[in-house]
Amino acid sequence: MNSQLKRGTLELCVLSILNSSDCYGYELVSKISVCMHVTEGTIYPLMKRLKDSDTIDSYIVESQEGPPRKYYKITDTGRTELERLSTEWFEFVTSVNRLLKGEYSYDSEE
Amino acid sequence: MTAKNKDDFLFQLHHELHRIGVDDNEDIFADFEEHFRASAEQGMTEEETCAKLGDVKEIARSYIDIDSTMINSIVANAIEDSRPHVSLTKPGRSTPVSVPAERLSLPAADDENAPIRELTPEHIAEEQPAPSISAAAAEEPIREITPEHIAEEQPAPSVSAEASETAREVTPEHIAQEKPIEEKSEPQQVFDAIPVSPTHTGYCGTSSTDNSHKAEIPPQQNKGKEGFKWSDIKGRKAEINIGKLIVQIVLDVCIYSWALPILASLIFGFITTVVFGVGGAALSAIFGGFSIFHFLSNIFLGAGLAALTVLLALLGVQMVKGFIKIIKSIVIAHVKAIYDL
Repeated sequence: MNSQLKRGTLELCVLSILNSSDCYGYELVSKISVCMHVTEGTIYPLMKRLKDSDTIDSYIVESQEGPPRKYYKITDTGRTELERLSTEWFEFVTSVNRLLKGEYSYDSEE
Repeated sequence: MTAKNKDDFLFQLHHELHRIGVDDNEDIFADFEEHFRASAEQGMTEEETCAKLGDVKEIARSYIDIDSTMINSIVANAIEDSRPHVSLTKPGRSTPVSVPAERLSLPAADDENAPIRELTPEHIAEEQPAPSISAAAAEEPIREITPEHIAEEQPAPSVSAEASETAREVTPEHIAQEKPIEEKSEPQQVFDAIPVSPTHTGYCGTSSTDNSHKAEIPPQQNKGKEGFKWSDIKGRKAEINIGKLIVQIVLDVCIYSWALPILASLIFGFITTVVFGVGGAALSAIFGGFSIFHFLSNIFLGAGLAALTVLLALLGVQMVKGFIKIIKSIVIAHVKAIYDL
């Protein structure tokens, strides 16, 4: 899979996962690597970037065993962004699918 | 390349982040330490975790890949990648200090790394034309230039990768020192319009002397103190707003040459003269009768004025000399900055 396409999709996946529940880093990485083959390490830079752009936020949770854990949650900006990206994604996928199936013809487009 | 264990991973990451100019803050490391802890809880070895985390370089690179996450930015990235890359050895641009030479010497095999440099904040900042800053930058290293530096530079014959081995020391002067070497080996570069100067031929002639070490040193050394020749920029086109440049130079001249203090002292002197002149006239009008004092005071006044004139003349000559020198160095610094010498 094209690495840049993958990275673009990754953001969508992260936002989508966090939209359903808050996660800590490792949990999130595991969830993503189930559905797509990623360089797991690059998820952390992505999280930092998302946090810098205020689409996600983090908070620390103390745990009984071992040191505290950093949890991530989606922000309101993040939800808007998720909506935008998923719309974009579905449009993209639909049109690529149509193209691949040969349903796309340039002259008959309304 | 993937790391062997946690410590190796963190070490490599630190190194890579530093190399590409990312401020490695504690948060980054805390994230990965937590990741290692959590994966250990799942029964994974450090080696397995490292393998899954992937290429350390790729991870480090992701920290500067500012805008590549959006789906629609794929196109933007393609455009970005097709732009000419910033040359690592371009003078006036800071090169990461700790770039290992072996990485620079493999541009073709590792060209993926090249566009990333463009994305680092420093480089973006430096793309903006900032005449005053570059002028200051160009001026500062003048003090640093020493024969040792020149000697260090000369074993690197025009190979740009090798030149940036001494990245920390790449200054306009150093580049200027290197140029004639490049000119010989790669005349198709910017110098094709420049004829070989008489000094250059002279330098070639002296290269047969016993001092082979010295013979390698380009002629600029004895040409001018600032390592600059007008012929260096002959035929080259600079991208600069001439109006802005002139304003900048005038401003710099005013600031660096203390023109403003001189102006201020002139005005002060004028006011003082007027006040004392009027006061003196008033006094002589009142005590005009004492002619003996009048005579003596004229003698002293004459002597005093003569001495003052000599002093002022000397001072003036020195001041004008210094003034011209400063203006010259400022103009040259600007020109060098414009042409990236």
